[in-house]
This record gives sequence, structure tokens and C-alpha cells, in this order.
Amino acid sequence: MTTVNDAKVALDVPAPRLLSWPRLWLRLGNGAAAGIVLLWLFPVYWIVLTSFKPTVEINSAIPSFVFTPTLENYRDLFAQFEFSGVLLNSIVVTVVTCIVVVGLGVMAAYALARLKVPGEKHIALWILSLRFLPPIAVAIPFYIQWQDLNLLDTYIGLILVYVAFNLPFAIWLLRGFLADVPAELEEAALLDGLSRLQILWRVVVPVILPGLASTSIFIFVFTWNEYLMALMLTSVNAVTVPVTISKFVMPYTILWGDLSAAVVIQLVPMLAVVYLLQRHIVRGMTLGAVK
Amino acid sequence: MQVQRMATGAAAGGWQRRERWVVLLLLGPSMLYLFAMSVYPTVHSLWLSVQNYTLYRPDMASFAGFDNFVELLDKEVFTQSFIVTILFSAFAVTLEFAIGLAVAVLLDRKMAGIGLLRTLLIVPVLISPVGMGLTFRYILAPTYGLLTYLLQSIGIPTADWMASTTWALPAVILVDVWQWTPFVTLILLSGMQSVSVEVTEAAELDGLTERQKLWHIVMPLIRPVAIVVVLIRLIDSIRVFDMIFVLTRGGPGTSTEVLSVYSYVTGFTEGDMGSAAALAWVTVVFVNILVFFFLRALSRAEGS
Repeated sequence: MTTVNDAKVALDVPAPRLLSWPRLWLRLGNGAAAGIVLLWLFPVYWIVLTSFKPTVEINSAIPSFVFTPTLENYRDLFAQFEFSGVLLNSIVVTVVTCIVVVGLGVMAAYALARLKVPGEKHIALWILSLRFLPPIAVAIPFYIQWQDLNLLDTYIGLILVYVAFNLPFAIWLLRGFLADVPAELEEAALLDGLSRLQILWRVVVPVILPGLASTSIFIFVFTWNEYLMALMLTSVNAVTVPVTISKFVMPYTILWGDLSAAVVIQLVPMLAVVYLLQRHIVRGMTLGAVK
Repeated sequence: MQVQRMATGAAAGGWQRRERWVVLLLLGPSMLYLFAMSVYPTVHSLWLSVQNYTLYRPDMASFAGFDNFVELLDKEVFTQSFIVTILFSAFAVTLEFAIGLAVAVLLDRKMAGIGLLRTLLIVPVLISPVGMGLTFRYILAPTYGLLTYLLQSIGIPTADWMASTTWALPAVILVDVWQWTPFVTLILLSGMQSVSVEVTEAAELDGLTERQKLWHIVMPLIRPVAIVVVLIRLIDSIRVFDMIFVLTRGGPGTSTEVLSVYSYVTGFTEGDMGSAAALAWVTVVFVNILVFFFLRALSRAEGS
């Protein structure tokens, strides 16, 4: 890049001078950029640190940064609060939801993106608008209905709701990924005499695997973190991680040790997500407005 | 679409008929499911909203007409809750956008490790609102909270933030800002980076300074994306539940009782499902107005 600006700067700055205004400015900017991100991560760092503190340190009036780390909180979480069962509930519910949603989603999205569907645009927008339905609006009817059907506090009761909550998002996002697939691929397959379903399964799905992966990761995040429905629809057998975390806030005390350990355990899979999602995260978060 | 035209041209009617079955097979299950699981409950909730329906005695339900809605309008709590929701959304989203934009401008630079910084910034977005809320409840706690300690050590008076009618709302706004500002930043940042190199180079050749470039070139180009982000945040902040519920349960008093929390308390704590449904419906209407604008903004952003 040889622009006018660069040339001017180069003339102004004789070789030996190490600090000039533009350079200082640049350094300050770099420092500020790093500083603000680290500041923003501080609460996360703090809760991770807390989870390794002995109880005395956790409740001390003078917060400590240096202490002898202990696994006491984690041990307590699993030994006393049977956290493994809760973790299993969350995993089962989340994984099943992901599979069902992505399966149904890719079928519907393919029809909307590639086939002649009457009123296609309206259907797509209707589906997207469901993504914004306030959970509280459907929570009450679900509670009453699930009570009648004996679905309260069961995996299936929770999964049915989560599939409904995530399907609109999945269809919308996958439709965008499918629209990016060049139509020529399918034309060739059509000429070879493959049926639509064969094309979808053998030609399209392999091509959009990255899209399928990032869609399921998003659904994983939403389901893993969901609180309101889990709070209402579960009590003992199907209770999930976020609900359990909130239960450590007791009427007269808060068990910060167990709570922070549970928060950290909940966070661990999210860190894998960060790594896997990097490329697609913005696209997913803006529902395809930014690619 | 090219594929369809070719197919219908080649094998005439047979294909078309078969394709209709394929559409039904592929789209049908999702449509039916979504219809059953969203339209039905919404209608059920509308029906509940005109009933006297108690959680503990569903057999005693009776028709109430618009009583639930009329009662709502009479209640001071409802007006209060509505105002709290609007204050919460307005302040949170404004701050998130302002700070998010500033940070995006700051991070839109070439430096070693910038990719890592951006990746790290995703972390607060992916933590559950429950986890984030409770983390802040610990940091803001009156006797052993880190922030309380820091403020006291530099001589600023502190309070039991979550128990104070003055401070509880600003505190929950702070937490929302902490969780969602990175979301705004990341999206604006990728909007900025999609501004093509040619455009910025042309601006540089024209002798525009960095600041002029930002205001006159970059900002107008990321406008559609910015509108989408703001609307997503507005809609989500009006529906907010988790974070506030674990921080304050709407208290102290009703000072942080946003519509979702109020609705939950009415239905599940007080057992008045009819009124809770009526309340939920107010939220639905409110949100849907914004969704309408969102859909318009989205199609514009996609078009550009």
C-alpha cells in the first residue's frame, strides 16, 4: 500500500526516532483494545477463580487473588448435590434437541430454498417471527397441558418444547446456507436421474455440513443455557444445569462455592463452542443479515 | 429458480406432481409441529386470558370476559412493570449500542493477536444469563463482593445494590450490558470488515482522515446491520427473564419487575393463570410490533 498518507508519515519519521505521535497513538490503541477485552472477561475469570477457592476465602470481606486452590467445591457439587445426574439430564435433552431440530430443519429449509412452495416468502417470515415469541406467552399453556398429559418433569416434555423453540431459528439459518449452494450441483444430479430426496441426502447435505454443524452448535448453546421453561416444566427427575445453579441461592444463604463450580462446568462446553463457531458466529447471531 | 424450470421443462406434469409430494414430505412435518407448538399454545393462552383460572383449582375456572385485562390496567403494579420494562430496554440497548460501537471501532485494527481478542469477546455472549447474573450477584454482594471492596477502598460509598430500590434497576442493566455489548461489537465489527478494501483505499486517496472515513464511509455502510442488531437486542431485552429472575426476582418491591417476571410471579407464585396469560399477551403484542420492523430491516440488510 503506497498511499499519500503512508508516504507522508515515512518522510516525517527519520529512522532512529522510535516514538512518534502516530506510533504512540497506535500503541495506545493496541493497549486499549487488549485492555477492554480483558476487562470484559474479568467477571468470567473471577467466577472461575472463585470455584477453586476454599469457603473461607469465598466469603472473606477482602477478596483474594492468591490462595491455595482446592477442588473441594467440585467434589462437594458431585458428592452432595448429585450433579452428575443433572449434567446427564442437560446433555440428553440438549443432544436430542439438536438432532431432531437439525433433521427437521434441513428438510424444511431445503423445500423453502429450492422447491416451488406456494407463499414461500410468507412462510419463511412466519417461521422467523416465531423465533421471537416471548417464552412466557407459551409457558403457561404448556405447563397446564403438560400437567394433563403427565409430561411435567420428563425428558420428552422438555425436548418437545425445545424443538419448537429452536426449529424456527434452524430453518431460517439453514435456508441461508442452502441458498449459497450453487444450483449447478443439483442440476447435474437431476439429469443423472436422482430423486429430490436422494439429491438432498447425497449431494446437498455433504456440501452444507459446515452449515449443519454451526446450526447445531447454536442450538446446543440455546438449549444448554435455557432457564425459564426448564424452571417451570421440571422439578426433580429432568432438572437441568441452569435450574440447579439457580437453586444454590437459598432463602438465607447462597452456596457460592457449589454455585461457581457449577457455573464453570456449564461454561466448559461453551469454550469448545467458541473455538468451533468462530467463522459462523456472526452469521448465526444476526440471522443471516451479515455473512 | 433454474433447477425447477429445467425440471418442469424436461419431464412436464409428472415431475411437478411428484415435486408437490416432496414439498409436503419435507416441509409438512416442521410446519405441523410449529403450528401445534406455537399457534396452539398462543391461542390457548388467549383463551386463558379471558378466564378466571387458578393454578391450584383448574376445575373452578369460569369465563371472565375482559376482566383480567381491565384489572391489569387498574393495577399500579402493571403500569410500574411496563415502565420498568421500557426503562430497562431503553437504557440497556442504548448503552450496549454506544459502547459496542466504540469497542468495535477500537478493535477494527491490524495488530498481533487481534483475532484472539475478537474470539475471546464471544465468551460473555455464550455464558448462560443465569450464570452471568449470579456471577454479578457475587461481585456486587454487599459484604464480600469484589466491586463493593474496590469502591470502598477508594472511598466511594457502597450499598446493598440488589436490595436497594434505587440501585437494583441500574444493576440489572449493568449485567445486561456486560453480557450483550460484545454481541453488538462482534456484529458491527464484521459489518465494518465487509466494507471493501477498494472503498477505503479510494477514501484514503481522496485524502480523508481516519475520522472522516469512519463517519462518512464506514458508518453509512454498516447502517443496515446496525439496525438489525439494535432490533434483535430490543426484542430480546423486552422478553428478558432469566438474568433478572436470578438476580432480584423482580424486587426489591417491584423495582425490577419486568413484564416476563411479573407474568411468572402472577401465574406461578400467586396462581392466577388468567391474569398471567393476559399479561403475557401484552408482551406478545409489544414484541410483535418490534418484530415487524425487524423483518423489514432484515430484508433490507440482506438486500444491500
